[in-house]
Amino acid sequence: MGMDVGAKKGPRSDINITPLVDVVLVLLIIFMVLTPLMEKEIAVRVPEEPDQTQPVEPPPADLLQILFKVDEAGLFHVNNETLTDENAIDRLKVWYRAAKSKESTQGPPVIFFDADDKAKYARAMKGLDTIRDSSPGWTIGMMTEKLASAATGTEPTPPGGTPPSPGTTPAPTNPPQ
Amino acid sequence: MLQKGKSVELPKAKNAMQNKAQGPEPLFVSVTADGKVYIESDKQPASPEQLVDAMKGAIAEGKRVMVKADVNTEYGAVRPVLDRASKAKLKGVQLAAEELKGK
Repeated sequence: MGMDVGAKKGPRSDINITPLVDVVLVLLIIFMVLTPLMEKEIAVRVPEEPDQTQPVEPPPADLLQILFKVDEAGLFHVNNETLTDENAIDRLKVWYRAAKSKESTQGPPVIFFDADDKAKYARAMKGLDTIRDSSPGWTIGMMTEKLASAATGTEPTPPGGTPPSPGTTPAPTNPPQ
Repeated sequence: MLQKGKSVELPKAKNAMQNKAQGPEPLFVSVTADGKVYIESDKQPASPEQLVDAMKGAIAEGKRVMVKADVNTEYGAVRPVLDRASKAKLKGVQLAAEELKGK
């Protein structure tokens, strides 16, 4: 017979791809299972850009603003109170109860979050995590504009956990133009 | 691990939760350790205008915005991204984190 059926003239030139396809399919399945497990996240809110055509009303005088700050060294502050890593959760719970008690007049508890530009992002994230730890009920508002740092006084917080009187913290949202 | 967007080392957080909400894939904005901002997996750092445009596009498509910032960066590099999100009239963003196991 004159038919050439190969394999007689040296090694075959094409490789057997069947095992390769098997491996690729297994990898595909592994990644399909892993992909949804990847990204975890913390939801925060950013201030809404004020509508310039509408006059901006000043906040009511009894508004309780809670401002959480992370300073350059990574220390946490709430309004004028400095927190340690150990007591931060407990103190934030006190603030949360204070904010929650005013929910009927002021809406759900909101905490404004700000960190120094030089603060490590890891510390800022730890601060956000601590806030979430103290209560899942907080609405976290991110401040996107820098504060005038000298604006806050040094009014101490009474030991009962009553937050300082309003008006001592700078407005966390964009001030009226 | 396998990540969307640029490869960064994510901070760890106890309270990070998986977002179960179904919807389109979020827009990924990455802040690398040297403070550069990237949209999705772009090779070049994004300009502020590009960032705002990309975020507006995300709103138009109903996408969320996921900010992935490196754990070693400074907060000053992340703040402008949040500011742009505000300028683009986003209601909120997601900060990517890795789940802290245990405790």
